Amino acid sequence: MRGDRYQIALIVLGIAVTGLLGYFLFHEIYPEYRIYQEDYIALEEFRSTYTHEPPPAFAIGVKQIVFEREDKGPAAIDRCTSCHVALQLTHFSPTKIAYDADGKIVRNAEGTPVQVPNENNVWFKIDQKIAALTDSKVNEQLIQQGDWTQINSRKAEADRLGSLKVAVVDDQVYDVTKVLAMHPLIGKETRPFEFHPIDEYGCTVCHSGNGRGLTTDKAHGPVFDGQYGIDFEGPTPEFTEIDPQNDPRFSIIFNHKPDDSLVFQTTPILVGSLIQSSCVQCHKQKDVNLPGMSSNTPEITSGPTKTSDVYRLTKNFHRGQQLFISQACYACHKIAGTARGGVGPELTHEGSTYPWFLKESIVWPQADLPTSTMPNYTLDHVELEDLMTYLLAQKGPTKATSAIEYKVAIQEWEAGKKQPWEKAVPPSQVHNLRDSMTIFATQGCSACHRLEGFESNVGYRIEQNNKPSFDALYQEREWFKKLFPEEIRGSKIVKVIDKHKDEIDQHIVNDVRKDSLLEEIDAKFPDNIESFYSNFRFAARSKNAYYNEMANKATTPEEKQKALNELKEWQDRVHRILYVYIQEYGFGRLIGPRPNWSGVYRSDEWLMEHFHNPGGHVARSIMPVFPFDDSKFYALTYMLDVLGKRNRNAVQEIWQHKGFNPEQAFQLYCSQCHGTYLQGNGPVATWIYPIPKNLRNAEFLRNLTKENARQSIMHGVKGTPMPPWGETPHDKENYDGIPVLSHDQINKLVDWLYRALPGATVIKGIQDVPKWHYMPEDILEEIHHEGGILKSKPKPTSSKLSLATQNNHLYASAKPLVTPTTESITPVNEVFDVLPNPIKGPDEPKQMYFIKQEYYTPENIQKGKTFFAINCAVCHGADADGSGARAGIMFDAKPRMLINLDWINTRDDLRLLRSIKYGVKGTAMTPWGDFTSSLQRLQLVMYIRSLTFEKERREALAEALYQTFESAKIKIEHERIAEYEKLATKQKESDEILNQRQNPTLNDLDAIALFKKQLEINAELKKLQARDQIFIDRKLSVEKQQLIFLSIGNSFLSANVDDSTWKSIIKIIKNYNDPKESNLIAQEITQTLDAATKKMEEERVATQGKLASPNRDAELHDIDLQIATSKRLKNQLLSGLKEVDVLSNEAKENK
Amino acid sequence: MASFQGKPRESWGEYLVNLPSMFVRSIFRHNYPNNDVDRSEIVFKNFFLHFHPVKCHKHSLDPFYTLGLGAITTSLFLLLTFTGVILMFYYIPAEDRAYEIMKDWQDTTPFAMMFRNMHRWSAHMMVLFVFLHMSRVFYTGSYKGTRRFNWVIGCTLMVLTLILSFTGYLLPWDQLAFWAITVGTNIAGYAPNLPGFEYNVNRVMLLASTNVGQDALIRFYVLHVAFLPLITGTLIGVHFWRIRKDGGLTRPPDQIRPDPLRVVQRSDTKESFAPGVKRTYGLMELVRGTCPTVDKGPYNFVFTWPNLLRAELVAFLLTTVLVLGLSLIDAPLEEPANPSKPTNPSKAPWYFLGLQEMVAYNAFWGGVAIPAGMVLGLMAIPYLDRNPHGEGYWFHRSRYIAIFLYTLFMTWQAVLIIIGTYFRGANWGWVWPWTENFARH
Repeated sequence: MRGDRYQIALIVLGIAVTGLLGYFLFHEIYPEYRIYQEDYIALEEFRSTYTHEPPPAFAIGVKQIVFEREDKGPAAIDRCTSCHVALQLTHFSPTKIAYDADGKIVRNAEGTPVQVPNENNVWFKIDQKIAALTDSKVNEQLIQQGDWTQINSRKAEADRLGSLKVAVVDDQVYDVTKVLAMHPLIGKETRPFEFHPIDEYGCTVCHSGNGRGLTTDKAHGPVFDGQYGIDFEGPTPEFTEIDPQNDPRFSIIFNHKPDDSLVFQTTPILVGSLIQSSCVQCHKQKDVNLPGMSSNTPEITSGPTKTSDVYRLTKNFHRGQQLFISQACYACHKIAGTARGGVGPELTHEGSTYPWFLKESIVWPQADLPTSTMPNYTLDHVELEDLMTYLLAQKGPTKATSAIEYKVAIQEWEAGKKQPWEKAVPPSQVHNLRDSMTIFATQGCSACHRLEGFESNVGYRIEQNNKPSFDALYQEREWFKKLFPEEIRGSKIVKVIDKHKDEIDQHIVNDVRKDSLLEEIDAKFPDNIESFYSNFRFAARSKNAYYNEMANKATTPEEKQKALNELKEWQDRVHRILYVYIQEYGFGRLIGPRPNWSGVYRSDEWLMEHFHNPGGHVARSIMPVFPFDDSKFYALTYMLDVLGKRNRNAVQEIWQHKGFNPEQAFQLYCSQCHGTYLQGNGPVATWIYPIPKNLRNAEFLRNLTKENARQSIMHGVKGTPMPPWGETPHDKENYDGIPVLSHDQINKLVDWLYRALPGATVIKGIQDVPKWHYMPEDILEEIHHEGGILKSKPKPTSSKLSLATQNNHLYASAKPLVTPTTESITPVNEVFDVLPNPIKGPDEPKQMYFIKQEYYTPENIQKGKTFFAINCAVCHGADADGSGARAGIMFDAKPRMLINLDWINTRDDLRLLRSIKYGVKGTAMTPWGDFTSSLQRLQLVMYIRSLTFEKERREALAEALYQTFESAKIKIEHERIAEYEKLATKQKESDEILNQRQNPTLNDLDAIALFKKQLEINAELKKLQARDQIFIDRKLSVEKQQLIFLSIGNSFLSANVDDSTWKSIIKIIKNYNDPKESNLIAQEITQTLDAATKKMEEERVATQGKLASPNRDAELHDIDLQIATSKRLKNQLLSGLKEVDVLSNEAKENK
Repeated sequence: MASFQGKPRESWGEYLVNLPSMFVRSIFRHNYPNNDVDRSEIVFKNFFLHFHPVKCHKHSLDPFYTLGLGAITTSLFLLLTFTGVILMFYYIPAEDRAYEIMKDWQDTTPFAMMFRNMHRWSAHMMVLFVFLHMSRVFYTGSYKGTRRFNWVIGCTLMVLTLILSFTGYLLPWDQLAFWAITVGTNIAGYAPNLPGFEYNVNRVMLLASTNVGQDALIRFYVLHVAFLPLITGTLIGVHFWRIRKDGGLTRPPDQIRPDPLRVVQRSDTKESFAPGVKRTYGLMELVRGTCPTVDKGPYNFVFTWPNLLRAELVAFLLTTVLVLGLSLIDAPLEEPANPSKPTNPSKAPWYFLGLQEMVAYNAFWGGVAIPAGMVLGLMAIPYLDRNPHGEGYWFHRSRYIAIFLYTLFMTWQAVLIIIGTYFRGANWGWVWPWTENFARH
C-alpha cells in the first residue's frame, strides 16, 4: 500500500531525526573537556590515597574562572582552567621552589628562585605506584602463590593509572601530564601568577587562543605539526638541515598550515618564546640604539644588555627586533612607527596572522605568492623563532602606550622623525672603516652581500708569532679551503670536524690578533654574526644532546665536568672555524653579488646612485633602497673603495707569487654568478636579471667571438650585474688605475674559457662570423636591393629619399617583397651619425653608428612599433621590458630588457641591427634576417630607441645635476670633515671637564679652575660650531639651487621641447658657476620660446578667422595651452636663474 | 427547564463534563479527523492547513513524480527561518563585533554550532533544491497552460533564494565572507553605470559604499533578515496558492475517467462546460447550469488529511535528517576579515562561481548581460514553448528539443561551476585539483 510506505518512511525518518538530535545533545551534555575533568578527578582521588586529604568536592563540572570587569562590562570568562585545571596546584609541578635551612627562598644571581625536583608531584607518584604494581618480583611471588585475582587486579590498577597519563579525544592522543601541569614561574616571583593572577588576567591575554572554546581545536587548535593534517603536500624546497636530536623544539612546530578540518577554526595558541610577543603588548619597550649615529642623537650604545626583568623575559623579542634590522627586513617592509620599506607587504598588523603562515612566509616566500622577490635567507630555527616573536608582536597600537601617545608617535614618524638607523653618520666617522663595516654587518647589507675583509682574533697558528711567509700562509689557507669549501653544509662541517679535530686545533687558534672587528661586533651585537650562517649554527649544536646525555649519565662530578668541557670545546672549535671561514670567504650571506671589488671597478658616482636607486643601473635589481642618510652611503662607498683595493691587492699578490691561474680566477670572480661549473647557475644567479650566461653553451660563445667576450669582461655589460672587471673609474680619492683584472689576465681567462669548448681549435675570430662584419654599407645596399625607401623628416631642401614607402607588410614573411630601385645607394653618413667609440681598446670597434635624428619620423616609429608588437613583443614584452609571454619558459637566457638605459646606451644601432638580422646564437633570439627587410630593421631600431628618449633626457638631467651640484656638495662635505675633527676633539674635552666637575670630591679651587677652563672651551666650541654651521648652510644653499634646476629641467622635460633647447638647458646647468654664460644661453632659449609663442599667436589669429566649429575651438584651446606653456617655461627659467643668482651671491658673501 | 434556542439548559454537572471538549472545540473548529467530514473540515477550517485543497489527486502523492522537491525546498525555508531567528538573538551586525560574536557564540552556547551549521547547510541545500525543483517542473512540462505564471513566480523565487544566500554570506565577517562578497559585488559592478556617477551605482547601491565595510554589513543584514525573507515568504504563499488555483499539481489526464468539465465561458445567460476542471471542490463552480459530475465522487482523489500532510511531513523529516547529517560538518569561520590581505583566488559562493568563471572571460557579458539573459530567458520559457503536449509526463517524447536545450543549459552551468570551484587557482589561472596548488592562505 502506498499509504503504508509513507508510514514506514515517517517512522524511519522520525527515528533518524531523534538520533541525530540525540547525537548533538550528547555532545552538549558530555563535552570534550569532560574527558580531562574525569582524568583530573581520578588523579585527585589517587592523590588522596597518599596524602590522606579528601579529594576536592567537584560535584558537577570543574571550576571555571569568571572575571568580572571593573567597568561592569560583560564578564570575561576564561575557560582554559576547565582543561588546565592544575595550573596553580603545586602537586602538579615536577619542580618546586627551594628553601634554605632558615626557610628562606633560595635565589640565583639574577634573583630568580631556584627550583628543585618535587617528590610530591602526582605524576612522579603515579610512576612510583605503577612501578610498584608491576614489580616483577612481587608478581612472580604472587604467581607462585597462584593468587590470580590479585595479579589481575594489580595489572588492571596499573593500566588504569597508566591510562590517566593520556587522554584520547576523537583520534588524537593528548599527553595529560602536559595538560595538567602547574604553570612555571614567570620572572622572579615565587608563586606562579604572582604578578599576573590568573583570575584577573586569564590565559588568552598571553597565550592567545579562543578562551571560550571548550574543545581542543576550538580553544586553541593545533600547536604541533604532528597533531594535524597538513594542507599542502606538494614538493617543498629544503630549507634547513634536520637533526631531530639537537634541533631546538621550535623546529618541529608551526611548519605547516593545517588542512581544512582545522584551519582557521581557532586562534592558534602561542607557545615557547612566541608568548613574548604578548608581553610587549602591555610592557613598554626601549628603542634599540645602533652604532653609527650622528652626534646630535643619543650616544652610541651596544645591543641589548639591559637586565630588567621584563627585558630579560622578552629577550627573544629583542633579538627579533635586532634581526629585523640586521636581516634588512626593514628595508622592504613597513611597520608603522618603525620601518618605512615599501617593497614587501606591510607588517604593521602582522601579529594577527597565523604563526605557521609567518614561518612559511619567511622560510619559503614563494609558497604563498609565487612572484615574490623575497629571497630565502635560510635562517636557523633560533633566528626564526626570535623573528617570529617580534613579528607576532606587531599588532598596531598596544596597551603599553596610550592611544594618543601612539598616534603622536605615528604622526611624528610619518612626518619624518628619524629612526636610529636613518640618522646621519657624524663627519668624523665617514672615513672610519670600523664603523662602516659594523654598519655593513649589523644594518642589513650583510643579509644579502658577502664581503671579504673582516678580521677576527682567530687565525692560523703560524700567524701568532711572527709574520709568516706568503707561501706558508697560502698553504694554510689552501688547507682550510679544501677542508671547508664555501658552500659546505652543516652536517658536512660536523663530519669534517669529527675527522680532523686535532688537525684543526693544531692549525687554527684563538687570540692571534687583538681587538679585531668581529669580536667587537660580537660583543656589541651578540648572535649577530652567527645569524648569517645557519650551517655553523647547525654544527655548533650538533653535539649538545650527545654530551648532555654523557653528563647526565656521569657518576662522578669529574666525569660530568669533563663531558661539559668537551661540549664547550666543540662549540669553541666551531666558533673558530666560523671566524676563519668569514676571513676566507667574507662576511654575510651570498644572495646578492659579492661587493668585494666593487670599490675598484665601480665609480663612486655609480655606487651612490646604486644605493639611491638600485634598479637604475642594474635592471630588476631586488636590492631595496635603504633608508640611510647620504652620509652613511658616503661611508659605505668609502668602505667599499678601501676594501675593494685591499681585496684586489690580496688576490694580485697570489697571482704574483703563483702565476695567473684562469681557472682559479674564474672560481674567484665569476663562479658566484656563472656557477662553479660554468652553467650560469651560481649561488647568486637566482635573483639576477638577466640570467648569467651559460658558459657551456658552445654555440653562444663561438658566435660571440673571443673579441666580444674580452670586451664584455673588460667593460662589463652595462645595465646588468656583470661588472667591468678591467675598468678603473677616476673619481676615487686615491686613484691608482690598477683594475681587478688586467688586460693580459682577461686574455688568458678568455683563452681558457674557449679552450674548453668543443672544437676549440677551429674557433675563429670576429672576421669569420658574418654577424660581426655586417656594416652600415651593407645595410644601405640591402635597402637599395629590396627597394625600401627610408623616409626622413621633410627638409627645407628637397631630398632624394623622400618618396612614399612601399613595404607595408608587417608580418614576418619568408621573402620580403623585392622591387629594386634604380636609384643609387645612399652614402653611409647620410643615414648614420658616425661617432668615434668612447671606449678605447684593441677589441672595441672604432666607430659607433647611430641613425640620424631626421629619420625618426612618426611614421617610421609607428611602423617599427607595429612590427615590434606583432613579432617581438611575445618575448620582449609589450613594453619592451623583457617580460613577454614566452620569457617565462626561457631558462638559458632571458629576452633583453630593451628599455634598460644603461645597456642600450652601450650598444650602437649597428649592433642592434646585427643582432636582429643574425640573431644571437645560443639564445632564443633567432635570426630575423630572412623574415625582415633591412628597412623594417631600421624602423624597429628607431622604435626601440624612441622608447628611451624621455628616460634618456631624464638621465641626462640627473647626470648634469649630479656633476655640478653633487660634486660641489661632496667638496663642501670634505672641507667640513677636515674642520670637524677640531670640533670633535673640543667636544670631547668639554665633556670630560663636565664629567670632572660632577665629581663630588672636588675642592673649590679646582672647581673654579675647571669652570674657567670650561668657559674657555665653550667659547671656542661655539666658534667652531658656527664654522660648522657655515658649511651646513652652504650645503643647504647648493641643495636649494639644485632643486630649482631640477624643477626647471622637469618642466622642460614634460613640455617635450626640441632637442636644441634641451641641450641648452643641460648646458645652463653645467655652467651654473658662470652666470654670464648661462644668462647668454638663457637668452637664446627665451628667444626660441618667444619665437615659438609669436608663431603660435599668429596661428591663433589665423585660426580665429576660421568658421566657428567645435573643431576650431579645440584647436584654439590647444594653441592657448601651448602659448601658456612656453610663457610659463620662460618665466620659470628666468625667475629660477634669478633665484640661483641670489643664492650663489649669498654663498659668496658667506665665504 | 430553561432553554435557549430550543436547547435545554445543561446542568452544572453536564457543563463541567462537557467543558474540556468545549474548550478543545473552541480552539479547533472540527473534531478529530476520523471521518470524511472532519477530514475536510480540518483543512477547511484550520488556518495553518487551509492553503491545501481538501482533497488531492493520488498522482500528486506519487513520490516518484514530484520527488518531493518543492516540499523539501519549503522545508528548508522553514528550517532557515527557524535557525535564522535563533542566530539573530545573538548576532550584532557591527564590523568589529560580528566575527567575535559568531566565534564566541558558536563555541560557548549549547547547540550553537548545530544551529549555525544547520543554517549554513540549509542555505546551500536550498539553492541546490531550488534548481532541482525547477528542473523537475521543466522535465514534467508543468509550466504549461494555466501554470505559466506560477513558473515566473518560481523563477523570481529562485533569484530571491540566490540573493538571500548571498546576503547571508557576508554576515560572519571572516575572510571567506569578505572576499566572496567583494567578488560578488564586483560582478554587480560590471552592469553599466548611470551616466554622471563616479562609482558604479549598482555596486554602491548594494554596498551602501564603495567598498565592503560597515555600511555594506548593515545593508546586507537588513536585506537578509527582514526585507528578502518577507518578500520570499509572501511569494512562496502566492506560489502555493496558485498551485491550488491552477488545479493542483500537473498529472496526465485520467485514462479511465476523464476529468470533469469546468466553466469555460462565463455570461449571465449560459454556461458551458468543457473538460479541464482539475479540482472538484470550490464555490467558484457552484454556478447555474448542468454539471456532468453530479452524484459522482471525484475519481482518484483522496483526502489531504492524512495523505498529503503525511507526505509533506515525510519530506520535512527527510530534509531535517539531511540538514542535521550535514551539520556534522562544521561551517567554516575563517580568519577575521582583513581588507589588506586579499585571498588569491578570491572566490564567490559556489552558486556564483559559474558567473565568476564567465566574468573571467568578459566582465560585462559574463557578469551582467548573459546572467540577466539567463534569468529572463528562464522566465520566458512558458511563453516560448508552444508545444501543448507533455504536461504531467516526465520527459515527454514530443519535447525532446526543449529537454535537450534545457539539459544542455543546466550542464553548461554545472560545468562552469565545477571549473570555477575546483579548477581555478591563484589569479584565476587553471589548476588541476590534484596538483595541490590551491590557494594556500
